[in-house]
Amino acid sequence: MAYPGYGGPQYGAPMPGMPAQGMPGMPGGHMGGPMPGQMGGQMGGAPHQGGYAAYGGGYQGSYGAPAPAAANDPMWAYFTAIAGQDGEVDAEELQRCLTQSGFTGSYSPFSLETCRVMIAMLDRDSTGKMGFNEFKDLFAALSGWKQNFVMFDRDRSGTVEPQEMGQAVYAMGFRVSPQALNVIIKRYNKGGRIYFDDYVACCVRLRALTDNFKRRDTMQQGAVSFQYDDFILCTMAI
Amino acid sequence: MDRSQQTSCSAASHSPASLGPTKPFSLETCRLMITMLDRDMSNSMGFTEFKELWQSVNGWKNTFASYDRDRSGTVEGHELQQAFSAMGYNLSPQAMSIIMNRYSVQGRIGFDDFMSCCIKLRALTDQFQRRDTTRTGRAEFHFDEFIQVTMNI
Repeated sequence: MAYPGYGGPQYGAPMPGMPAQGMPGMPGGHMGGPMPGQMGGQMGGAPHQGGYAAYGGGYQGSYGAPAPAAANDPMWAYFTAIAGQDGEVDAEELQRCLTQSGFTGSYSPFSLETCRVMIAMLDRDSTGKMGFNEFKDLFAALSGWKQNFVMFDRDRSGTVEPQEMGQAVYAMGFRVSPQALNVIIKRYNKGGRIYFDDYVACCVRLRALTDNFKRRDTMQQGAVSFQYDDFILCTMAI
Repeated sequence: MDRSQQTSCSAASHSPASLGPTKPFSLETCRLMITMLDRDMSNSMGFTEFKELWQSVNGWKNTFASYDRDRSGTVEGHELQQAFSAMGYNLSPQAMSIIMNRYSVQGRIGFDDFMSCCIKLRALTDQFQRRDTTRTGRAEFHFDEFIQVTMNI
């Protein structure tokens, strides 16, 4: 169901490594409604919109993007060097791995909290750690998100502005109200701008929460009736 | 006090001496504290809000201390479950396991993460209860409000 006011093409989640469809032509301010920065949104006060549009989020279950050639890719070398005997990394090890690989480039390294959230997002076997395959999935998502961010960080400041954040979220296929966007921007901005690390943390959580919600919305109604324990389970996980 | 002064707030007043070697609260935890009590959505904390925060923190500190029996500055999974029970939360083993995965480091949870956990649990439970008007333990969320509630903390 299209999100009212946000009709238009629901393009699917962009494949990591490839620009999202329609992005080059996407006009600024396409979001419709009041631009973020107007902090008038109230939680729970927004009228219930009829469902939601594309869940999007920047990646499918297993991306479909070609997996990097494991043996030759230096990324795997970093992973295996740090993962050790059990072949899994915890948050701190993941942080080291991503930092040493130079993935963040000129952006600041990922914070520990962001790494914890990354692990939580993909922790399918609930070990609290990330194995090789999970890491592959993560890396593909990160590449897509980074590419998206770089596109919006036009002045190469390592940050995006609130409007750009809104556009970036939209470009990844998430369809949320202006109020929700306000909440997101308020939550993740530092000094009015959003840094790459926080942007990634935001993407990870948005994606994981959307997945959790979607899995429970079997009738695709855009609404879920949660039992308390299950609500806590799926919201505290990420 | 605004967010830029969080660090001084955390370092100065909150190191609970009775818990042995402790670290100041992380910036993330301080951010959560402000979110929890920032009712006027001002992104900063006034004195009344601070007082309320201080009382909550003390309560959680005492709970934590009573379950950190070996004075390690950390609690284990089963102790965490007991602590939550004592605070009135009745969560399934599955939910507890997920919380432990998310917040523990090598099977143990430090005070800072415990605080983080308590704040989120309280905020989420509050949002849930507001929608569970008939007190049946069920609440309906539309997608957008679900995102607002969860991305806020």
